[in-house]
Amino acid sequence: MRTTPTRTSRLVAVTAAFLSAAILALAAPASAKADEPVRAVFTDADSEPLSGDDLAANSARGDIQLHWAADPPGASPMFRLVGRLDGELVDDRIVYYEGPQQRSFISGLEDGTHEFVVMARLADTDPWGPESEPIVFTVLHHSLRQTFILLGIGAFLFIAIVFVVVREAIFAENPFADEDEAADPAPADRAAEKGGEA
Amino acid sequence: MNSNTNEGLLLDPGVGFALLAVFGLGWIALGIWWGRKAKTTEGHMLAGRNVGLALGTATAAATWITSNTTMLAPQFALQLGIIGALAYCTASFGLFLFAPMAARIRTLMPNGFTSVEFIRLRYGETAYWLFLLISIFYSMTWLVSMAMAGGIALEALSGIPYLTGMSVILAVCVAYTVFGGLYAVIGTDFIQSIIILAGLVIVAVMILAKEPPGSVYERLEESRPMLLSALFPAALMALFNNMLFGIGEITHSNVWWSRAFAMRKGVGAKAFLLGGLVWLPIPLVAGFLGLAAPALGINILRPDVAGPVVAAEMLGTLGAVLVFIVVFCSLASSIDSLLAATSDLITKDIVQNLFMKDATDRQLRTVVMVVIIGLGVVTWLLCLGRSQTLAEVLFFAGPLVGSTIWPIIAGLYWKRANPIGVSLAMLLGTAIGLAAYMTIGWYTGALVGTAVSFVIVVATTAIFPREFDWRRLRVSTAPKSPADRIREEAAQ
Repeated sequence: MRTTPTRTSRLVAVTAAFLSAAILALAAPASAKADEPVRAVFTDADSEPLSGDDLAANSARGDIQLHWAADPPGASPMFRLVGRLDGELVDDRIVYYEGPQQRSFISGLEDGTHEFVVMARLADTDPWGPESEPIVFTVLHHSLRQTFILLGIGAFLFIAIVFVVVREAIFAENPFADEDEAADPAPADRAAEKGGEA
Repeated sequence: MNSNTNEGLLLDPGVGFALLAVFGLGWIALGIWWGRKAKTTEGHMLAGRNVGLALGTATAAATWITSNTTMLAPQFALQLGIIGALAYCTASFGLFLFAPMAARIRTLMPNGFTSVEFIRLRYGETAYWLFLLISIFYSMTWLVSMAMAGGIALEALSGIPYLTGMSVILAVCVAYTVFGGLYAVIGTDFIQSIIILAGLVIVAVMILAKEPPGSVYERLEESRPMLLSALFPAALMALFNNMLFGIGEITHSNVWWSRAFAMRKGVGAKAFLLGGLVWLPIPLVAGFLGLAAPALGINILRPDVAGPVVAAEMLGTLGAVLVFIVVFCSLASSIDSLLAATSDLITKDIVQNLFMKDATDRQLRTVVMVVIIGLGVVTWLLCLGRSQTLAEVLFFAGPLVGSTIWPIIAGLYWKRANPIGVSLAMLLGTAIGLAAYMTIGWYTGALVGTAVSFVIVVATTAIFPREFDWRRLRVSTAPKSPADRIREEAAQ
């Protein structure tokens, strides 16, 4: 027996086709995104991504506090922070950190322009994702001239303090010497003699 | 590369809370017990002026082992390298130099109460106001930096939230200082100093056995070469800056003056000297932790948590528990001292001097307790934000305390120091020192402040000498006559 589709069943079929198409359309970019490697970006302390001039920093002490995050946010990847001194080979890059944390304090850097990049991956078996935009960190330590001037002033002040305090401790007279000898022990000392240590 | 997780996973938070509860309740119980000894305001504030050598040495060492030692010394090493670690040790010169000064203070003012009182009698009102402002500002900076350190350390070690850890430490210290006054402070200092020293010795031995200094050196050479450099400019600047900051802290602060007044005659000099010797090696051990962090690949989230985090990372759970206890004791031993000394200062030099000249002993004691609680509340409010590192917070006070060194030395030993010159020295020393802090770095403020102050004090004393009668110091601080005491008791 031949049957013809009813109006209702045609509507169901069209709806199902539309929904399938919609699901496929939505799923396609997602699966494509899942294939994309997770990225890492440098941020400020409030997790706002840094860009442009904010990616440049300088110091006279050679230390820097770095913050980073995953892009897109929400993923929990492992991160790798690497740095190198400008002009050195790529192979000479130093790995400063590998792990899940999202900030690090780096210190003890020499004069020069240092570049830091951070990358991420979701699993240990994945390759590292693309490098972030670098933070360009310029270290210019205080001049040795300025340093030795302050060092000299400090040494002089220290010697002066020691000289005065030690000299006075040895030679300064007790302005109340006669009084103290003549008088009875002070009330506190009497209490000490009676009551022992506090 | 070590992928540590130093944000709250080193010690179970439950263990952290249990340690907080045990030690917190212990200190409060001891505070109440010792507080029974304090029958008068003088007993509460100065422990009856009867502290002996053993307790005196312990309180000097324990008070100087602060968050500065357990947390800032590693920060110095991590930021400024080997020279930075040595720079931190120079703070012991503060205790060494205060030893003879404590004897002089006791001689000139056997019945004195505070350092501000000395400045008022020695130099007059202008210097008094400036010195009072500096003292209170410094005390608040130190209190805030320590309460902050407590919150930061407990969070880094055990995951206890910063706000909770900071609030509990502060509340415990306020409670036992209110109940026990200086008796409780010095008594707990004695126990705390033994715990701190034993804990640090164990931590040091375990760490050196695990990671010899030679291997740390080799690894630093590659990734952080400046930390090993003898010509690290910022570290060389910090060398004398830290020494002068330490000397300034001790010579001006009522924390130390109150101990000089509280110690029995002839005890102060020896106690401060021994306290300095006990303290000297501690920052070296703590500093090694800061240097070890990058060498061992331990990620440091912020520089001021390096010490506790590295020790706990290297030594496991036992190490974390030890470090937790040491940090808690070192913080408590200093916060209580500051609360007690600052409350004395506010009570005697502001409330009594300006508003309650005829206050009875009982009224003054109530004021002391209210002031201690008030200080706790203000500190707590100021600690709610934690944007800067400990070094930046603490060393902001560097120019202020540096500018007081020469006014104090001249006041104690030179009969002809000029009061106007001394006021100018504190004012300009502070201003120019702060300018250096802002423009050069936090490691120069105390040095520049001291230098400016030195030039002005010496120059004005030489060019415009002003004779001072030492007798004024004794007459003005003489104890009340028996008739006055009877009148007071009748009024109560």
